[in-house]
Amino acid sequence: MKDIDKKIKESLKDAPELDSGVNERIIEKINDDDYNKEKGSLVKPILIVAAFAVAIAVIFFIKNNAPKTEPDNSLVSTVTEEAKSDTIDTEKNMEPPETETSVTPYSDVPIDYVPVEERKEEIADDDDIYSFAGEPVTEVGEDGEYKIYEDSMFEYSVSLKNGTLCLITTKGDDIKPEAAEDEAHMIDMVKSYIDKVYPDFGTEDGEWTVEQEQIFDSVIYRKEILGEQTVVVNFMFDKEHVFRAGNIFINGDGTVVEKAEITEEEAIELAREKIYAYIEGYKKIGKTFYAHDLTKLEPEVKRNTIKGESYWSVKFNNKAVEENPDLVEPYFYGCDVNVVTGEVIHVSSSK
Amino acid sequence: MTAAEINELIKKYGQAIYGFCWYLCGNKNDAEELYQDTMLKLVELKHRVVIKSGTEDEYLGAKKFCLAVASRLFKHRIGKQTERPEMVPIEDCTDLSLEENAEKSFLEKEEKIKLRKAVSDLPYKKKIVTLMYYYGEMEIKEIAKMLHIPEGTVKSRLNSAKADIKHKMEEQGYEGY
Repeated sequence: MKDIDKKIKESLKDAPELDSGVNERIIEKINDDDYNKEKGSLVKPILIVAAFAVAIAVIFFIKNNAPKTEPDNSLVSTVTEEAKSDTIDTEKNMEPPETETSVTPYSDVPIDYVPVEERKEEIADDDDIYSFAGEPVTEVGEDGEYKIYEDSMFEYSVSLKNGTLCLITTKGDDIKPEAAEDEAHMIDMVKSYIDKVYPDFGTEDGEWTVEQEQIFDSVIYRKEILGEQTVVVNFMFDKEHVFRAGNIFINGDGTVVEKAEITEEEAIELAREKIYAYIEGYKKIGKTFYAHDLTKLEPEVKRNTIKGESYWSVKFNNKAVEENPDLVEPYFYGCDVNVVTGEVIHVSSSK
Repeated sequence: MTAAEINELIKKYGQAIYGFCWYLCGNKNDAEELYQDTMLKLVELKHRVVIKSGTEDEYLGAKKFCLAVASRLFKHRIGKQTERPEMVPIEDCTDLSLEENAEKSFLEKEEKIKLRKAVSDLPYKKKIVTLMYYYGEMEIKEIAKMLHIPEGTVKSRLNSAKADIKHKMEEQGYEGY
């Protein structure tokens, strides 16, 4: 157990004493036969009254809709008999169900049950968000093979070439995804998704490390878009390579309202991650001349259009070369960042 | 569960269940009310908790059931309010038994109070799993089953709660979190 666990546990050991009077009152009430009977049989009279109310309503309905001829007494009496027999059956079913389980999850017990439809507002106010799951299909795209994952709401493609998770298209308005419990549940589902795509990401016992957990800390946040509170999922994950999915903006009811543009600053960070990974890759294969001071990279950003799509073109000038022209390394690196998806393409460098 | 068994449960674990309610509510009046409601709800649901041979484990199971009932009632109570309930800040409560423990240094007491305040200030979903885990000594699997949420969600909430607590404590200059 870590220090923080011990400290939290220790701090919760000193709850105040319960006044004995409180327990006495409760025990008195529990031992009160009348109270027990009242609680035990509360449902029964309600159902009996309800059954009679239904029977009366049926009789009125039939009477009001019957042709204006002689009243059909046989019909009324049949209905009444049926209503009576319903009441008897209902009474039989009032006994509490026998259960072998010693403890039933309390969440199975409705307290002032609220239908899901009415909960929608509550869900929308909460941090709820939607499910990620699905069986992959392999397809061949322009840049090689992709695995396509589908769920009730999105379609993901994962490049088999470099592990890049490419965003992600929505599948239409007729989607009714099941709401997740809350933001943490959504994170859990994203984790499951990543575990599925990259089974070697988790540690041996299946638990995520603190570093892995922290990936999600900075990438899920709330934002107001077009006057509506939305949850922004911008999950990034580093598994030797760096990749990042684009921004997904999900409304309280699960619809994607907008894919916001990547900001200039975000584009620089995305490009920087990519360049670093690119340089690290070269380091790994022994190209030592790329081992320069990475803090000397200075970004220049401009807007660009490639094949009809908007990109931030980010160019990193290598100041280290300016300061020391004898250095044998590129004097700039460049790449293009898709303004919608955050996908980084066209990594390049000067020779 | 019979009335006699509920009485026995109160004797064995009444204080622990009340403590849980107190940490949830952060003040005595609300905690007493929540505790009473919990026990009376248990009377209504007594057929769901079966004590067969009166073992310690069975009573422990019943206690955990009560913690889940209390959590549910607390959540429901908060859900009914348009704003978060006005809570008495936990360090303002004068009935802390901490004060009776003279051998502990002032600084230790101070840290504990701040830590408890950090737990108390957690959003209720995180607070419930934190209290069930640390105070109720329930396993993640049990919490998930009782709250009807996936185990991963319990882990995420715990992890996130710990991060919040750590952040808050470090902000106040405490180390070792």
